[in-house]
Amino acid sequence: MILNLIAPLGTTEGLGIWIAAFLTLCIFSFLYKDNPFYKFAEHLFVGVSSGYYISIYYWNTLKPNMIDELVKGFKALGQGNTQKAFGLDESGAVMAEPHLRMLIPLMLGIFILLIFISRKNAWLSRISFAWYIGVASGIAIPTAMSTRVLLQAQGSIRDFCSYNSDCATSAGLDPQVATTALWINAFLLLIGTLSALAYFFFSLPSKGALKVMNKVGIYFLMISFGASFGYTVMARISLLIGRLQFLFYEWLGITIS
Amino acid sequence: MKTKLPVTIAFLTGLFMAFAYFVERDNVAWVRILYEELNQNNIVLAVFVLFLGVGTLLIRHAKKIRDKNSDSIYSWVVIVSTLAVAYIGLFQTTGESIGANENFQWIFNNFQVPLSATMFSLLAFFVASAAYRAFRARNTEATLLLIAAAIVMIGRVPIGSVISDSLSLTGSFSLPAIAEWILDIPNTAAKRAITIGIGLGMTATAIKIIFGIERTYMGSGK
Repeated sequence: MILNLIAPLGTTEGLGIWIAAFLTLCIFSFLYKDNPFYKFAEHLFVGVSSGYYISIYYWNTLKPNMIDELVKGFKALGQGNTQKAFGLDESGAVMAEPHLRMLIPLMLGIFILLIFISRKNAWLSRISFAWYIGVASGIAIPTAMSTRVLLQAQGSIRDFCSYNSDCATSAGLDPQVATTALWINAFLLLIGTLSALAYFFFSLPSKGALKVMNKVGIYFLMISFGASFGYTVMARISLLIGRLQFLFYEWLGITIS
Repeated sequence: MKTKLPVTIAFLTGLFMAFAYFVERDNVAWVRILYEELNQNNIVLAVFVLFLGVGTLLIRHAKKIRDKNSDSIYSWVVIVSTLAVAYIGLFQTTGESIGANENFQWIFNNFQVPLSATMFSLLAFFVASAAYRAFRARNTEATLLLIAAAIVMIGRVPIGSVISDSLSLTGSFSLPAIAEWILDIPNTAAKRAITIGIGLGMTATAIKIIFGIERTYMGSGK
């Protein structure tokens, strides 16, 4: 093991490493108990994240989608081309570039921010939220039914069709040679999905066959929660190893040879 | 007016978006353009909602400073760091991409990355203590949880293969293969059921919002 010099503080890169190391240790200090160093780092995290996301969303979303369109629209308006300014071509048909039509989301955005400015007119923000929630709900109905319900149900029974060459051909699937293990897995997938769904079915009392299904459903859910927990623990430990590697290798300059 | 107008807007926009999904939009230009534009408007509105959130955060901390709260020094940290990073990100960026702003990237690499990574890595310790409480094999369900978690954890690191080899567990019976099977079969089955439940819940809630039954997005209703 070789202990090199600690990252030089005089350079921009070195200063960055020292700051990152200090902040890392500040957060790890919480393992002892809540203390001013941790509180400082925690609040700094909130502040830096807020500033970071404001900048990112401004440059990546607001500017290209709204501000640039408005600038183009006002330029066209200045040149006397009113149709182009509002995103209409010469024949009056609607063009894909909205230009000044983006005044609508700008107005809705200002309505949202009225909460800060005018208590009397703050209710206008409801219009913006209704617009946002309405559009999101309209998109959610077909997409949630398609991707979260129908495709998931299809996935649970798809293998049974794939293992039958006639069914696979008529359904446009790649026929597969089914081994006993694959059949067992396909049955387990179907039974697991149905029984876990049955566990969340509260319209009938849990008696008889439904009770058995519920019990099997709980077992599948517990295995799934255990697997997710194990997966999460591994991800967190991976992050911890990453931070320790940073402290030892990049900050302290320890190398193992 | 204060209630009926928002409910009507939610009804009209929601209904249009739901029906537009089923229209062959490439053949009907106005539906395609309106559908895309409403989507684009929502992306823009989400940024204003972010501004609303950050503004509320700053006001809350400013109030703490005004009230001379004992922890007001940390409120200064939040306000100063938010404004400083936002200033560097918004006003020191030249050109079209924020990726070219070296100062902003320096802050990201030396503040944002270590703070977020360490904050989440800290959870490893708390997850371990939670595991101690959750993993006591008190009944069949807890035992299944314990076994599944243990196999997934051991099976996905090199020591899993070493243990399998030392116990002569090969092929489908090795720990990595069992961990993979748990993730692919029972885990997928349960996750599918949960996903189907979420999908049905989302659809039901969306329908309630469009028809004005669910109005909590409007706040207190005053």
